[in-house]
Amino acid sequence: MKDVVLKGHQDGYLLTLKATGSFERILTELTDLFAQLNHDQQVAKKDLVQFKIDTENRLLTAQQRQQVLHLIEQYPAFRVSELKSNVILKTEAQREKEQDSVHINRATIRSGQEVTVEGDVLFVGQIHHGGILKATGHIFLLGDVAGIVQAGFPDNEEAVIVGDLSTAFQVRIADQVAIMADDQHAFTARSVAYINDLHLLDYGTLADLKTIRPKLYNKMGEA
Amino acid sequence: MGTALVVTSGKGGVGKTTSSANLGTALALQNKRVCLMDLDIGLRNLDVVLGLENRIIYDIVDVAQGRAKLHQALVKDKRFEDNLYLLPAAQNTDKDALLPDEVKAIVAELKEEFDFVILDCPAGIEQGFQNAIAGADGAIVISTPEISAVRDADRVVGLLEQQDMKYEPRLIINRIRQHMMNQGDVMDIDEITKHLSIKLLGIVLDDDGVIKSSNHGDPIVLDPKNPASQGYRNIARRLLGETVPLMSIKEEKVGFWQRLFGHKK
Repeated sequence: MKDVVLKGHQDGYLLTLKATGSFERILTELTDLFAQLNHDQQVAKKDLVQFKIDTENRLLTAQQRQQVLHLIEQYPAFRVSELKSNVILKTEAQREKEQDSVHINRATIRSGQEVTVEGDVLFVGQIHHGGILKATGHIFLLGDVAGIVQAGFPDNEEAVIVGDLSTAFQVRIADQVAIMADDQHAFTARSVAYINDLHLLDYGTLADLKTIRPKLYNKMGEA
Repeated sequence: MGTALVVTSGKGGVGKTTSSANLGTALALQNKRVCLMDLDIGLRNLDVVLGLENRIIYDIVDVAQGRAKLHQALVKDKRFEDNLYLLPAAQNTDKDALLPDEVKAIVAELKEEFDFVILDCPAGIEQGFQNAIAGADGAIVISTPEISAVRDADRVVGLLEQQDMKYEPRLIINRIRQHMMNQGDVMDIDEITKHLSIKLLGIVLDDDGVIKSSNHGDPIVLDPKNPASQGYRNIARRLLGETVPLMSIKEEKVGFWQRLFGHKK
């Protein structure tokens, strides 16, 4: 059985590198295969051919990846459009999980303390005067807020903050800052702070979320 | 070109921050452009006393380390038009995050634009103190009539004299309780001044209003009738070169007949 399988699909060619075979054998087979393909290509005088590569349940190291790509790049007539695999590193998986899940945080953030969360946060703790809660994603507030809340840190303008912000010092989203003492907005627990089309901090209610952030709204529907 | 003054005491709790805020405000009321600089890294308070805590976006460490421009970090006090600004301290960085040379550079930049730069020094005589005095042209030493405060002030004056500043250090005696001083329970003004052998800049009486107004984020100087406020106003005028006599610490004696028939206060 061969370790490198080439199949034609509607949208191009798919090159499967079998995870059961050794990498050395795959490399030799690839070398032979492309030498042959290049020969055929020149005879047929076809245009540039693109390949997708699937490594199945094998995760190529950076070096192996380079070897495969380098081998194919020798031929100007061929190009790799995608390199995919069924597997990812645990650390990568964990990072993705962190990013996607809503963290529940019940900390007491005191003056001078700063809590930074990867992803979204449902905050049920307290932020004292001078404390800062930062999240790379959205912030949903149920707790008492006297300090500073910052969503979408450092530059995610899509982020929103849901909750009563009337007692907060400052609200920050991405690089926009609002000082609540200057913003006479009537907040409720269903208020939403977001960045509008003019890149300014604006407020709405949860009922507007469908128009303000359709993506987030749909994501909530799925959960 | 402005003047940079450091407000220092050695001992904690004698009123450095309150005095900085009130002197700054009093000078701003005299139509001088003033920048207050909080150097108490990690335990900042000046912003709270001025009621500007909620407006801080960048701080002095951000400026020193190049994360923000100086004018971005300055917080304007809207009550005084364009006269009073605050450069806040950092709240959550290491207290050694700042170096004397960095403070010097920032003070030099501020002096170009402001008539007075007032540096609020942290308690103690460590790194924070060294930072605060590095950029100053002169020092205002705060002491209370307590022996421990006078002792620490004496130590600080000694350290300041080694610094070779443009102006000699001057003394403010703060939180004077008239009845105690009149009864001789604490050192009196002459004693303290003589002991420290520096010029007296002024005295400030102890008054409940100081704490009350600080809690609202309003410096007491804004209340012209308050006795502590008058003390700070006099000091500001002396700083500007006026000759203002020292206020009396004599308590008003209420006569017998007045007590019987006089209006209740």
